[in-house]
Amino acid sequence: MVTVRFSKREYLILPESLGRTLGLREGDRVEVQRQDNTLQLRRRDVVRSPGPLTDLSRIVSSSRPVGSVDVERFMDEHGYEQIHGRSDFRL
Amino acid sequence: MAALIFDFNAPLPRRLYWDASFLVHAVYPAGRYHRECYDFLDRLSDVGETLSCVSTLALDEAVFALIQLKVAEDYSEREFWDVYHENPQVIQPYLGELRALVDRLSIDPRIQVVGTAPESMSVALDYMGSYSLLPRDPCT
Repeated sequence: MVTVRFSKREYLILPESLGRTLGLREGDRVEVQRQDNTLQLRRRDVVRSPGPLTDLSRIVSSSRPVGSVDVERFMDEHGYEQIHGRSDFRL
Repeated sequence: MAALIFDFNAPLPRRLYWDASFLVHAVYPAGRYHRECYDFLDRLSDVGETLSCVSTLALDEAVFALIQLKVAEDYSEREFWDVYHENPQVIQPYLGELRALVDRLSIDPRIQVVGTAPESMSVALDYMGSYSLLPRDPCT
């Protein structure tokens, strides 16, 4: 038994164990049909491998030369939530 | 359980974890270690048995770092918080790329997003787009 929750995104989110039991994988596309109180999931197609993982490096653009930026300098702060207007809040 | 850390050239385990630093260097071409991380992505592309895991917290950290990096490119003389507080809309031009990145990570069968619900970052991006919030703010 699982609990239904709604989302604005066009995803069907299942408990991992249930998804595995149904033979589904992340990215599968399914069609949901109802007959009386019976719900059917019909797998339409299986998403093929979306290409090499190096494609990830072509999404975010940069005007800087390759390898020129000390990224760690932008990652050594802890916490940046704007709590009560304080952007430098530290725990 | 302590994490096991290996060299990029070590035999690949069945599962490995991408931290935010690896993700940013891998996807941001100007990152100092981009070449090394790119080569590792290339290596992972050909290995079907290895599942890469990335947490929603790491995605949150990576998205924020990438926003800062993009702002630094366009406003090089100014501090990020000064720019953002003056005009929160400044992050809007960068959100399209970041959404494409998160969507691409979310559908790849070689990558598993772990932590809170996989759609959380996507929902957070909705709020970022609507209200010019930074990634962690929609969740607090």
